[in-house]
Amino acid sequence: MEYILFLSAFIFLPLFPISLVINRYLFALKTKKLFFAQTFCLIAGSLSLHATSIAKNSMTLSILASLSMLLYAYRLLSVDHLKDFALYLFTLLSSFAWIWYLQGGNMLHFLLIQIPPFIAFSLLAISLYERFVVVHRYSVNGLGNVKPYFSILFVITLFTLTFTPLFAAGVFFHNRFAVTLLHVVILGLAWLFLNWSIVRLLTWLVFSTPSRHLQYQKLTLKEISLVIFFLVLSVFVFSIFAAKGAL
Amino acid sequence: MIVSDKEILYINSLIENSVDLFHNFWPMTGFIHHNPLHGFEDMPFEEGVKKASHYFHAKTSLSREAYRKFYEEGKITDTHLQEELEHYCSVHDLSKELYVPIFLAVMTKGENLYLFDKPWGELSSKQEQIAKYLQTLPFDPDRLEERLGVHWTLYDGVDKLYDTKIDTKLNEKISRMAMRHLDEGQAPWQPMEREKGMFLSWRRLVRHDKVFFDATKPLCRLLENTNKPEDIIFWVLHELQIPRNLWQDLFVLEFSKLHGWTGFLRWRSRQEDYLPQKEAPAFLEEFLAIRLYYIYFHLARVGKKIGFFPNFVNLQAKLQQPEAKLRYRFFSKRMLPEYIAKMEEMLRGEPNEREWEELWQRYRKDEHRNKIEAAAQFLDKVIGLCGCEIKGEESYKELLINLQRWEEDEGFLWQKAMEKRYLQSMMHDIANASLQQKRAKAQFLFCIDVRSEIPRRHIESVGDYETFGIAGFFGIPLKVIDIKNRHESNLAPAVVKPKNIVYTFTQKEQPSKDLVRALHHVYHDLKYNAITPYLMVETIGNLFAFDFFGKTLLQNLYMPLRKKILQERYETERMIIDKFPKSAIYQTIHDLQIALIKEVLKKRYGIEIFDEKLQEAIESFLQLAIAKEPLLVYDEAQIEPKTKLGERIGLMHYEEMQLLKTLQTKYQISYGHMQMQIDKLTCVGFTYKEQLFYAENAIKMIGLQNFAPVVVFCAHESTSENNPYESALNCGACGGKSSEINAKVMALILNKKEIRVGLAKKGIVIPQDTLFCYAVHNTVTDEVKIDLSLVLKEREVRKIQEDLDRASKQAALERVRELPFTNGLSKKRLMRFIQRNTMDWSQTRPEWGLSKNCAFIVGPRSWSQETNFANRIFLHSYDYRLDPHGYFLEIILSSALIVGEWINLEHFFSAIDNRAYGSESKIYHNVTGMFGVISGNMSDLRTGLAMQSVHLRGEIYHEPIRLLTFIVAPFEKYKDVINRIKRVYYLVYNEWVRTCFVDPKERAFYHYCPNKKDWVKIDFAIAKEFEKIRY
Repeated sequence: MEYILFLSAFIFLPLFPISLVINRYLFALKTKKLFFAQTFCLIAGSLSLHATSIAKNSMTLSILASLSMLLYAYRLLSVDHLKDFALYLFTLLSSFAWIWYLQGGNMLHFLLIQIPPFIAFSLLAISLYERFVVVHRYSVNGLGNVKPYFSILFVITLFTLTFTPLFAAGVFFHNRFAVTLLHVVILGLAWLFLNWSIVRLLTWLVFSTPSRHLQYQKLTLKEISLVIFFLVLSVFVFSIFAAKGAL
Repeated sequence: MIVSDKEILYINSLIENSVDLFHNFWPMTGFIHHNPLHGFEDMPFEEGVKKASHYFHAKTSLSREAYRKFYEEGKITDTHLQEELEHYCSVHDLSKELYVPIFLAVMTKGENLYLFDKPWGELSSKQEQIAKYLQTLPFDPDRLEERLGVHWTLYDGVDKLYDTKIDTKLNEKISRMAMRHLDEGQAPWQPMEREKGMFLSWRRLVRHDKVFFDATKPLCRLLENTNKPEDIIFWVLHELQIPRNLWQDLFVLEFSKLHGWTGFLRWRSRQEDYLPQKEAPAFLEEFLAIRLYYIYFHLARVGKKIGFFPNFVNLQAKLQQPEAKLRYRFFSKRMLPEYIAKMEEMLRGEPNEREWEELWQRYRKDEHRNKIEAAAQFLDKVIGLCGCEIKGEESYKELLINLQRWEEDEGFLWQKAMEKRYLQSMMHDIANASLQQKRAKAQFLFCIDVRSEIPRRHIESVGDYETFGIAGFFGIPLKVIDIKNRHESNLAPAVVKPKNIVYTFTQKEQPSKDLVRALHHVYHDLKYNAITPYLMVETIGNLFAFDFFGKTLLQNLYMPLRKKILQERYETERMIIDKFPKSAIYQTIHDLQIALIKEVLKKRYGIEIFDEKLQEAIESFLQLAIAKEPLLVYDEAQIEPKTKLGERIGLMHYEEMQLLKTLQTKYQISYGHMQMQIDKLTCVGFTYKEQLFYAENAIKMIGLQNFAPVVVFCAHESTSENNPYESALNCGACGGKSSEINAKVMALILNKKEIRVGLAKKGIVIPQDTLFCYAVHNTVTDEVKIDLSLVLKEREVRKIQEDLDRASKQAALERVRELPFTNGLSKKRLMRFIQRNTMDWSQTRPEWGLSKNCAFIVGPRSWSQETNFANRIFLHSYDYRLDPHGYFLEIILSSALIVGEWINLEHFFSAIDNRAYGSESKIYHNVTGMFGVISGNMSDLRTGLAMQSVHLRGEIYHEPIRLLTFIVAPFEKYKDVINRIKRVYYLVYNEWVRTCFVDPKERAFYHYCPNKKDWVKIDFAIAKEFEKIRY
């Protein structure tokens, strides 16, 4: 059973090169389904890994996961579609889940920390796709001016999600850092690329000049409430762990 | 290629014509409010604004949402909107019954109701029906090639097709070059050969730039061999195959890319006496040549990537191809979302022309369908909003076309309706004025600045005081030279070049602070060195924490203390306002020259005792030095000295020749220099006639007749910290400086007995006991302090000062409530808040300045005395009865009105489009070159007002209204004054200001109505009832 779970984790949390196949399949999905599938994969994969303890100290797997993370962080640097961004971010988080697992971390903690902001991110992305059909560098810009609430939530979500220090994932990510020098270098670079790519994404999506040819519609109260709920949940989880750490 | 003189002349004339559309930009030390569209004033307002918006990529008016906010606040009414819409319909031959309700509904109720490219959601059956009607309607024919050279430069075209961002790269490159060359003392290192001019200095540098200089290329070879920027301009234009008829347009487009630098260069290149221009000359043709040089290189480089050299002909051909049309849509973010993935795929591959054509045909159909559907949705919403009924295909098409056309003018309609509302309200107030006159115990002459309105009102309320409005330089343009600080500045409106110089001699109030000064110098030297700042931060950086916390958290305690320690206080001791006699001028220069020669002899030869014979020898040597023709010529064979001085102090012949040369070159003791000194000294002070002239003009212009025992000239100034825009808050009529010197000079002149005798002969009798003195009004704190140094009747003046203090406090409390964060504060805390604003380095808005200005009244104070105009009105006193020929009115209109219009339209356009005409947020501003500000570390020179001056919390604070000008004078007799001054004529009849005569004889208003293009009469009796005013 453990082996089945372990192998299923490879499918739900794909590492390079399996990720090439999984991503191709995911890319073909429509936006809503894609985000649903990604969230499902992250949850299912994390639970699978939680239930198994195979290869927990494998250095090879650890290096593969780190390289996979680096690769997708690098890939994120050149994306022009929000959908691409979500796809590569998912693969990056999958790699991080593996690193977490291989360093002996509790996968339930990973779930609690990464899933709420990922759902918040998915909700925001879906709201954009519902309004604009395509969210591309050359189609939707400058939301900061026209959709301020969306923009604030989007920026916070990305920070929460992508290991920014002081946010939950950031604290745990930086704790996983100092295993070997190789890890430090690879994960350090991956983190750098990831943040760079976020800045790049925010530059065109949030902080540029809005297009005059689009009809911008604000987030509904329901959408805002849902996103805030998941963000608060992630902060709440962080507080619990922080308190636990302090005690 | 060496261009002929004829061609050079042609290019220069094109440049001159092009830059006429741009306004001057003065250095920030003397911020001058100006109309950013000054170059368009010979066109009607709306036409000028539309044309300028094309060059500056600016908006023509505020958004519908912004105007709707004013509408909700009652500043725009349905009645006025309706009137404007009716006029619009009659001009465009539209049915008023149908269109007025439609337009009105869209304006006042239609939220986010615009015509978009794409529909929102599914279409209802009714919308589908409308869409069917609109099927045959053509949308926006694509003629990209026609925009080239007129709307787009070549690299704009390339940027739009290939997303190359040449425009951004060019602007950065040119801004960097301009910052480097035009620096006035901020940069520690100066570019080489600056004194040779911008072009040659840049050429010296670009030779080392491997990216932009390749000696094998023809353009670089030309650059090596020419000193004329016109050669480069001519060569590049030819190489890019730009048709000659487009050169002018292209120059305008190029200059508009960096209109801040263009404006500054335009001003600088015309200032022969401006020292930085002498030290580092810079002209517009040089600026353009450098830009064109880089343009050529960028285009050549991009050409290699895109497979063809994008000159005019090639690019025009390209723009007609389907590929270009699709690329344009993709990179300008207008592409339909469903085509984005396909387009990306096409761009990654190498599709042939047929594939592009196929995609384009498909795309065009879908785009058309989308536009039709969006239009149908839009029309359906519009019709639903106003509840009208439209029948038939043609009616729908017509409605759509008319709505599209109307949207372009919508902003102007809002604006005119808002102006009408204010005009109506002011007419009502003026018509109801009771015109009471009372005898005053003191008279105050304030600047016409809108900020004077509040203190004037409060001063009038605290006692028997009368106030007048006059341009802040008090009609006396002068240049002041502060001998102690070696500082000179013009105290006159920017358009006036003062002829007279006033010297001020200052004396220290307290002992010298040499140590503080020395430390200050060392600190600045270290700060501006390339290496030392690193060391400085490490060693003494922590000390600045005290300063930082003091300035940030404890301003009220710390800043006065800091000022006391660091600043040396001076007291003006003496001021020269009378002309020197000729003999005195010669004697002064002579004495100076003798003293200099003695100094040289002392330094060079150690001579300390000057007996009579040596004095004589020096005199004769001086004559040799200042002779027009050289009297002493070097003789190689001669060894013995030829002059008495040489003999006396034992010099060889060659030594005395050396001494002569040193005196002439280094110490400027020569004929030429002496003449210059004479000319300069001749300008010092005013002749009796000049003094009399200025005094008479000032008094008559404002209609000052019954002199009170004390007459006070109130100068004004503003105090703030860390504010590059401080001069924008000072007196605009004094070139952005304090008007204190002008006030003092005027008071000194009018206190002279001989001047009073002269004035009496001209019919102005000033009682013997009348005393003229001056005061300074601080516009941040509203303190008005009378200077007691000129005062003989100290007791009376002290009493007046007490009243002033009371009035100041009331005025300050009224003014400060307009600032944010003042709600609910007690009076005591408000006063502290005001004081803190003068010294808070983080305060971006120490005062509102001239924001919200909207009107200008030229007439006696009695017409405006009873109304609270809330700091929004320029008030110039004027009595037509003292001006039978309209001579003074002519002066007021040609100076004060123009300054008022500049200020008004500066605020107007900065509010309408702060990015294009203003300078955006102060938070990101950095001072560059000690003459201007840029945003961030690299940008165009920011010229207009900062966002903090016209916006509040993201919303418009300054209501953009053209200056409503009221002239109190009989209409028939004085209307010709407008025609006498060409610039004023343009302003009035092209509607850059809204003009209205207040005819006291006929008791009626004569308003120039833009809709009727004629003067319209409105009787006071009608105007007294607010609702009845119609025009």
